[in-house]
Amino acid sequence: MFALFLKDILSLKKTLRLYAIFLVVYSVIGVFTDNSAFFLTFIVLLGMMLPLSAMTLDAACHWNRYAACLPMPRAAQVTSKYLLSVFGILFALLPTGVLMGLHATGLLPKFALGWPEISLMVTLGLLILAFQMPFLFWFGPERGRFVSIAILLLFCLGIPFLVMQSDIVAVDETFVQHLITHMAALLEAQPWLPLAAALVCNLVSACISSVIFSRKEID
Amino acid sequence: MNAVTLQDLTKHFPAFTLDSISFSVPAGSVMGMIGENGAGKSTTIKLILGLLSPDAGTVTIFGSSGAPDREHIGVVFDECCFPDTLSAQDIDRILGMSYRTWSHKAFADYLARFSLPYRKAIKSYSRGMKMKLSIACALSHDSRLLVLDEPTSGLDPVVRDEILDIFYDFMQDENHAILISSHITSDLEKICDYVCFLHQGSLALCGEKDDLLTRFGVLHCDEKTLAALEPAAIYGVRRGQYQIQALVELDKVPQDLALEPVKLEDILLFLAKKEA
Repeated sequence: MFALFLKDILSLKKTLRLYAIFLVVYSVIGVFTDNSAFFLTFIVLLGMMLPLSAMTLDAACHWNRYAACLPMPRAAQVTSKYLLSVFGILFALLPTGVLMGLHATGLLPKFALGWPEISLMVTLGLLILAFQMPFLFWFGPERGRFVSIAILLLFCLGIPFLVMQSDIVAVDETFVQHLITHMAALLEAQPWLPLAAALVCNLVSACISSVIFSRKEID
Repeated sequence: MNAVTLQDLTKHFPAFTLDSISFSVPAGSVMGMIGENGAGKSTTIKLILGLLSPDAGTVTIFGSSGAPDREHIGVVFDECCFPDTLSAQDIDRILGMSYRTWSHKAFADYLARFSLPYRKAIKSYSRGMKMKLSIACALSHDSRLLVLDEPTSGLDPVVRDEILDIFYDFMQDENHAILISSHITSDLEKICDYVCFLHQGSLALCGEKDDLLTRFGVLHCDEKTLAALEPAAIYGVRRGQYQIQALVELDKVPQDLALEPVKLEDILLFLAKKEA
């Protein structure tokens, strides 16, 4: 599994470099505009995009055919993609961690993010991952991509719509920022609980993906 | 001992059926699979490698009919399956973590022998270089069986010859075996001990290469001579404007007929025509 994870990291070197540049740029923008949404959306985005990019690359060169001939169980091809996604989420957390560190040492006087917000977005990232992966393994990256876009739209439009309908968020506030703040407030008492739940969802998702992938014929 | 044994291997697709294929690759030998496009060569290889599940029949590799020990199987497909952003160095690291028996030294030696750069991305490689890299990977762990799906297609004769030399070296160990599919019958004629002909999903002929080449001949004749032959002696007919060519079994035709020696390509062409 770690060999396949390493293969994904090495083959996505350029993509990761590009994401790192985006992260730095958006972090700077986030600090100057005092808008934590910049950091947090990356957690979700990288969690989604990295396995998708890796699977697209695999499909283009028929890597799965070769990987299936390596001395490792076929499930390793599945779990390595989950590992990649978790890596993406941790990678996206890096600038947040650096800025939190600067804030803690007093070098950055103002920084709006706390653990509940981070926990919430990592949870969201993991939940989206858990939901999208079985579709990617079922339909392949091309068609699965559309499914994941549909999921993203569901989260970006559907949930905010439902939250607004229930009057949790005032509509005159900065939308995403306050949505995150309010949802995080709900989880403040137990910020690790949703994370744990999301991890369990990923375990179930990985099992489903493994079953789907092991039944698939590799052409 | 047989390196590979296929017994009544069958696979149905909507537009194609691989129909009850049975043959064996003895250890210490090279088996070539020949057939026209869509004959079922790649499907057979995918069934052997477990990439497809058979609808019926069994595959036995080194006596084991369960999941094969992939540590000892080297695979080369008709195209390089590594993402082209990787370098040979990256592949060395990845496969080093994948195979218990991976030899970094053997891999470095093959790269040097093939003049392949270690740090350059694969996308800068030519097709021949990519195939050489795939072969280097297949040989840098403890492979006892090489499964090669069209490894020389699209390569120039010089590179093909180099690759065949490597297969010769690999076969110096009598426990090793190669199953190779190719359109390039001249390559198979050079390297194979056994040959099987697939045609429209069925096994048309299978046997020792030298036996097959001495068992058949090409007869140039007219309709009257052809009609006089025993039907079981005729394996294929090609009708031209002025004469007829027939692939015939030497033992079943009169001794006085002048027959031209066959090549594997002739057998392939005649078998493809037989049912047309």
